[in-house]
Amino acid sequence: MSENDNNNNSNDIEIAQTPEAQALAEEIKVANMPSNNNPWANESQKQGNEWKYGPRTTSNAFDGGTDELTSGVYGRGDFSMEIGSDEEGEREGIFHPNTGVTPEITTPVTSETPAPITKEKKELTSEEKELKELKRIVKEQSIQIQQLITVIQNNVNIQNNTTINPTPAVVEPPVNPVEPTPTPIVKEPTPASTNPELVPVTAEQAAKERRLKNLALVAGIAAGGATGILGGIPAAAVGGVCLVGAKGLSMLTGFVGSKAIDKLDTKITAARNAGDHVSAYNMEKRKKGWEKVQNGLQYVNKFLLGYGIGLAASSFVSAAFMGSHGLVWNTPEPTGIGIGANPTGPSHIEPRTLTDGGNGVDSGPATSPETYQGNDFIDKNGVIHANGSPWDSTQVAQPVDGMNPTDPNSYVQGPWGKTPSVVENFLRQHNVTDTSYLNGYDRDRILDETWLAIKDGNTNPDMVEILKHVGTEGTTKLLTAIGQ
Amino acid sequence: MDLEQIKSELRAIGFTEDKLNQLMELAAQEALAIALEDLETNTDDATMEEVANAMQTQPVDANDAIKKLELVFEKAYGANAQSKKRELILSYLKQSLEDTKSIKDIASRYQAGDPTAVAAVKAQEGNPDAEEIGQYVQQHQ
Repeated sequence: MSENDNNNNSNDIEIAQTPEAQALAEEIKVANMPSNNNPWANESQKQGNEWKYGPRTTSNAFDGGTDELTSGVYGRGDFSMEIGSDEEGEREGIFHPNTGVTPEITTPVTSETPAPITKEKKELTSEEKELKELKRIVKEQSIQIQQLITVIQNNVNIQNNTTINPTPAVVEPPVNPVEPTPTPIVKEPTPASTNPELVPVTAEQAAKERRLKNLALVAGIAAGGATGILGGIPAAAVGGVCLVGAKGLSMLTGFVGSKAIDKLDTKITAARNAGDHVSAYNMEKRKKGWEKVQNGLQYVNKFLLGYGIGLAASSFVSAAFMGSHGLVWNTPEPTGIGIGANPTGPSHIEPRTLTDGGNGVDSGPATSPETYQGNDFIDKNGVIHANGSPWDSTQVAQPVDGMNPTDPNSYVQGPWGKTPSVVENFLRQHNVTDTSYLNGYDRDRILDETWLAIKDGNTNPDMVEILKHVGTEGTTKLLTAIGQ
Repeated sequence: MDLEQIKSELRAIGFTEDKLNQLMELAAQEALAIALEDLETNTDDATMEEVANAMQTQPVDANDAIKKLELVFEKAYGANAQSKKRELILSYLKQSLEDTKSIKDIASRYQAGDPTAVAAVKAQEGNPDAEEIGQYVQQHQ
C-alpha cells in the first residue's frame, strides 16, 4: 500500500468525519431505528403499503380498463352487487397487500431489515418490476372480466327474469373466461314458486305467454259451443288463428316491456363504441335499476295471481288498480254482504254507523270504556299486537281534534289511521277480551281488509262480513265468540 | 265505460267468473309491464334507483304489494298515476272484449261455411304464429 493510498484512506476517514458525512450517517442511523421511535421508518412502512402501487387512482390501476370493468359490471345485477356496488372496495381488493396477487411485495420495510442506501436504490428497481407485473395482472383480469361481461350481456334477459329472489346471487368473477352458464333460478320456498308461470325465462317470453293466454281466453269464449275440427283446424283455435290474420304477425313477437330496455341497450352500445364510458356506465346503472324493478314486480304479480293473499286476482286488481273496490267485496262469489246488500260491490252497501243497529252486526253486550280491558290483539292502551304484520306495535289513532271520527280524512294517516279504531270499536262493542285464538295472520288480515274497505270509501265497514270473508279458523272462532 | 260495465259485457259474451278472473290477472300484468316501460322513459336516474331499492324486497302482504305497485305508477305517471292505472286496465279489458266479439264473429261465420271467413282461416295456414296460437288454444281449452 503506497503512501498515497494511505493518504486516500486517511482522507476517506476524514471525509466521513466531516459534518456533512456525519449528518448523512445520522440519517442512516435514524432510518434504521425501530419504527416506534422513527418517523422515517413510519413513513417507510406507510409507503410499504401504498407507495409500491401508487395512489389508488383509476388510471393508475387499470390504464383505461376500469371503465370497461365497472360499466360492464352493471350489465348484470348479481354480478354488480359483488363488484360494482363498491368500486372503491373492489379496487382496494386489487391493491390490497393481502389479496395474494403479489404477496411478496407487501412486506413493509422495517427497522429490522436495515436498508443501506445502495440497497434502497435496488428495491426501487424491484418495485418498478413489481408494479409492472401487478399492472399486467390487473390488465389480464380486466380483459377476463370484460369477456365475462360480454357473455353475461348476451344472456342478460334470461338472467333478469329467471331470478325472482330479491337477494342477488353472488357470482364470483372467474379467473379464466368461462362459457355462459344459465343463471340458477332462485325459487322461493313458497307454494307460488312451484308455479312455472312465476318464473318466466325472459321478459319476452312472459309477454308472449300473456298474449297467448289472452288469445286462449278470448278464442275459447268465442268458440263457445263449437267443438271438433272445423276445416282441419280445432274449433277453439279458429278464432285465435283468425285474430292473427286480422292483427298481423307481431301479435306474438312484439311485446310490451321490451322497447325501453332495447333502447337503453342500443344507447349503451353506442356510448361504448364512441368511447363514452361514463355515459355507458350511467346507463348500465340505470338499466340495472330497471331490472331490479322488473324483478320486484314479479312479487307483485304473485299477488295478482292470488298466491300472496288467497284471493281471486280480480279482487286484488280491483283494489290495486281501480281504487274503488276492495279485496273484501269484489270477489267473484261474495259470501254475502249483509242486509240489503248487492254482491257486486261495496257501492251498494249503505254506510251505517256502529250504533245504529242496522248494520247486521249483533251488537252484543255493550261495555263501557271503564270496564273494557282490551285483549291481546288490541290491548287496553290501544296497542296492536299482530306478530309479523306491519300493524304490529302500532297504536290505535284518534282523529284530529274536533273532526268527525267516522271520516277517514280526520285521521293523520287517512284510512290507514282510522282502521285500528274501527277494529277496536268492534271488539270493544262485543266485549271481546280473549283473542288468543287469532294468530298473526288472522290479525293482519282483519286489519288489512278493514283498511281496504275504508280505503274504498266504506267509512264504517261491516266487521262481521270482513271476519266471514277472511274465513280462517281464528276469525271463525271470533265470530262464534260474538254469537255470529 | 267503467269496470263494472265492461265486466258485465264480458259476462254477457260468455266469460265466467273464473275466466274473468284470469283476464283481470292478465290485464294487471300487462298494465304493470306498460308501467315499467314508461318508468324507464319518464324517470331520472335517482328516481329509478329509488324505485329499484323499494322493489328489492318481497311484499309482506297485499297492502305492501299495492304500495309497491303504486310506487311504480306514481313514479312513472306522477299525478296521473291513479287514472293511468284505471285506464290501462279498462283499455285491456275493452280490447279483450272487442277481440272476443271479433273472434266470435269469424268463428261463427267459419263454422257456417262463410267463404270469407274460411279464406281468412286458410290464409293462415303455414303461419307459425297462427299455428302456435292454434296449438296453445287447443291445449288450454
